[in-house]
Amino acid sequence: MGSRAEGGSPAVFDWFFEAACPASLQEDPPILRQFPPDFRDQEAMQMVPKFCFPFDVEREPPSSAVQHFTFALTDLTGTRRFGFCRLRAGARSCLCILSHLPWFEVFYKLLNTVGDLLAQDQVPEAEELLLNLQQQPLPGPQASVELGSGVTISSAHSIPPPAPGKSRPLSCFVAPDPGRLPSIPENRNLTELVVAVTDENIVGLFAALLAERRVLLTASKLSTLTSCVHASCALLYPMRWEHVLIPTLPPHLLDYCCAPMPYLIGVHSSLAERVREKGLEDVVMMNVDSNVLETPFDDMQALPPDVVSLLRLRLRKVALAPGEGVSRLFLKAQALLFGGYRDALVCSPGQPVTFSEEAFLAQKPGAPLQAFHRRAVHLQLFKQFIEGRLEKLNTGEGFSDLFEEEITCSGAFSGSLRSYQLWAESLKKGGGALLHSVKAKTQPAVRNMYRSAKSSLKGVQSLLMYKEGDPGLQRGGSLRTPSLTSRSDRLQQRLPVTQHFGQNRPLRPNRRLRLEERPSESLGEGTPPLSPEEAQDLWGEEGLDSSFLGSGEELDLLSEILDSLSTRTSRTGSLRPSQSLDCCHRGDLDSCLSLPNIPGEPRWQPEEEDMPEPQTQSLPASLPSLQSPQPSDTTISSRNLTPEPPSEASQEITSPSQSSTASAEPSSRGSPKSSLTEPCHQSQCLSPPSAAAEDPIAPESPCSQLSTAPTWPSPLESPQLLAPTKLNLDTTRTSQTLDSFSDPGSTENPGAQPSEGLLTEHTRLQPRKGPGAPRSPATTANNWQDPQARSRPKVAELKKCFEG
Amino acid sequence: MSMEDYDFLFKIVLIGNAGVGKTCLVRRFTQGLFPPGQGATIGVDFMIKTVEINGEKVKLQIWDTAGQERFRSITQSYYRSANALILTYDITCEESFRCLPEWLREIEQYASNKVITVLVGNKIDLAERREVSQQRAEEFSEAQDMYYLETSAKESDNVEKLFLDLACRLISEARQNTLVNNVSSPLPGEGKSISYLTCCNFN
Repeated sequence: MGSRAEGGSPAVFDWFFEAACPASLQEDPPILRQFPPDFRDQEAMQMVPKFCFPFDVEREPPSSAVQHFTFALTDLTGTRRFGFCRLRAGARSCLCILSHLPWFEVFYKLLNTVGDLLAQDQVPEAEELLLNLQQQPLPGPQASVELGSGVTISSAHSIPPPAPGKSRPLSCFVAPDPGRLPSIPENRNLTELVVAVTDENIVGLFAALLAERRVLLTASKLSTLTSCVHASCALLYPMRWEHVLIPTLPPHLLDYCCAPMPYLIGVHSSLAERVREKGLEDVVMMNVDSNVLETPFDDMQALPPDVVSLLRLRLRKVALAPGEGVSRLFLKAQALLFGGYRDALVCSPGQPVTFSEEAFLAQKPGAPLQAFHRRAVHLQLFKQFIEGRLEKLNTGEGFSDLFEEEITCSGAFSGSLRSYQLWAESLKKGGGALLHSVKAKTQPAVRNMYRSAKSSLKGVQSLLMYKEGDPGLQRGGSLRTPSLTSRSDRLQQRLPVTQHFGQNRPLRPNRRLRLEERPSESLGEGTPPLSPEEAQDLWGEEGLDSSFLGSGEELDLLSEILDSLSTRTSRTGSLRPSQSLDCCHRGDLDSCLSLPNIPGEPRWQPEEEDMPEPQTQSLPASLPSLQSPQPSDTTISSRNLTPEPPSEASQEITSPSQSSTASAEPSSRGSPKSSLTEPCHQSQCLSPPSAAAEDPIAPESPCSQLSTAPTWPSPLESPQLLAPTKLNLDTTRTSQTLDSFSDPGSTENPGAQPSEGLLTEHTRLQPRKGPGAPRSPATTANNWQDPQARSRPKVAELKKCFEG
Repeated sequence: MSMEDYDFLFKIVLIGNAGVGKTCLVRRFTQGLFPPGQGATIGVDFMIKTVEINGEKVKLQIWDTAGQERFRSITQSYYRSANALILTYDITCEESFRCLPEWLREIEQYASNKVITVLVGNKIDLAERREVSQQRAEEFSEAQDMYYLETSAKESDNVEKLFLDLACRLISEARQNTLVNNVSSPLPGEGKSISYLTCCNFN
């Protein structure tokens, strides 16, 4: 069941190890090396390595090329952890990082770096890298963390200052922003899904998951397999897949496919036959290789026809374009399907907000939607969703997120915002009491969440302090602000509420026009695998999230939030790390918010988590580059001043011109990410034309370019970093995807596999977007220019390649 | 799990509050014969026990899902493919008993599914700390039309009986469904011809 958020594990990762491929199915994979060296969790050491070889080891290795994939572990409390794997070419051994963070691109990139170091026998360097990473406090979304060894994890916003003294370029990882929708190509999982699975089958998969079926995916490529699993989960945003999730089923657990409860399981094609022999009942089977979806159900027919036709018609278009198009489309579908929940909320003064199932079912009598609702109220994902919303409302935090914005924009609910305002009012008056009653009512599990939230609060606070203290971050903010002016509108609109969790600001109303422009798709997560839910869990709901903050400091936060809402002042400043940035971009933020303006009145009080402000701000700020469109992506900090131009630099550098084009098409692309990326490019390129098109500012921010260079020391990436003077801010944008893509570059991954090839391409794209500008000339080598501008054609090409 | 080695296969799902001893119950019954604790890694665990009833091999898969306690109520999607549910509470914990109606709410809405539900009061080895009287539980189960049994996973009291009785009921249900040619039967059947059983007395 699990979409549970991973509770606040203090470390960025728990365990790194390399396991050798066993010779037979009966043997356990031996652990060749590990970090920390004294890791002694016997149970983990016995059970986890088996997940690194989720195929029939007695047959041919699944691929001759390096593969990245991610398995998921769910413990007895429903908490999830992820195992990010890099299977060596020939599958002789597998590097694995176990972490509760759904940072796919970040960890893939890290694994490449470590793999490269190990391949060169630079074990001490690899250990130093891991040690630095592990000792880092958890960065907030889009926060950056600098590792002593020159590796930096950074949030998109914060750009680490250049480190002149260092001979070696610093790598920078950008923590994914859970408040943002997965974007193509930055989000590796979503990209792989769109490339590998036909539009029709993506919709079919979505329908099956919405019906909480038992779903089995099979594929011959592990990377494609797990990407499809994670990405399809993410399509459910703001819902979560609440049931069993096993992205890759190891051979010794095949019997689990017989489970009677809903599940989403990925099975490597080498094991598919054995699974079929199990006598599966009522299982939806999706063969990714042949693109065949077999289902005994009519789940597609169970959805309202208008939603299905919307998905079918528009998916074809958006799937070919980079950006958030796909995510927004599914977000829109979710808003159409479930947006009416707002009208079924019951709020009476002094009483906790409740949900009236009766009222919900009474909507649209006779319409297909009503029939859908009748089934939907019995879905675990819907129950948990409602519970989550009520909890947020009743704790007085108020909130907004991409989903709420979409509802408002699309008019999927009939209610007026007034009611929300009233709630806010009543909550304000009786907030303390409400909070108390809510807590008293909550079940033990919920209470535990609060506890963990409280404890995590401390961690968050320390993070905040860290961030605030980070000069680089502030810099970035200031830089961005200036540029915000013209672009900001557009960017804001596009960037739905990229909420950083940490921000307390109330959402500001967006311009409706803009809203429309936005594609509705939002999966909302930078990290697909986790599915938006998961991602949010980390930062938002369960994790360090603002919600937790709220729980931890409930009363204080409550009053603070209420105040902020009433005044509409956006900043809660002190709490969030990102605030500094926000302040700079405030104006932009406002525009970004899609919510209707209720003058002076708080509607959905922005949750701390949800608060999009930081991101939005950053975007508007013209720092587009900084905001790396994909939170998940690791950005390379500009620190890698080292101008190692050639290989890496080339990739990352995006041609500015393209970026401009991308920007030009705001409406179509709509996705915020794209917009972001564009700016970056522009900035990098400085090329006037592009910048001019959308944001004049972009050019202004020279800093942006800095280093697109991927975090890793890996040679390829480092060049990117080269971007000389540029501030890292921009560079951060280079999305992790790039890194991940960069894999191919890594010694082991030649990109022989199609999938990898895709990755590589993506990487190229990303680099362009971001930081590359400074290096421009070199970058050109990559060919990639703006992902966005070219995006469509390129994507199509990529698709071909992949398919090929 | 090949199809040849049993006449019936039934899937049983355990539900109930956290800490009532669901996992212990299963492990006691299967005596750890089958996969020990994979639930710690993938969030779902199951045990298999094959019993013989009147000459027929009945394979019981008993499924336990991690983290279900976080659900205030379990929706039908969770159990709709199960042949039986074992709803467990702790006789020393009033709270776990009071949650039962909530657990049952969804199940009742889908009574047509014919899921056999058994109510189990666990931890009778802690009789001195009992908070829920047997009579009260029996009345409740009768009102809900459920079979009721008290067990002690620790002392192994009634555990065997619980599963064997359940197996008998499932077989009898399966036979009825087959005779009636009820397509919607939740029972797997596995294509096996079903022979009449004279009785299922295991007491």
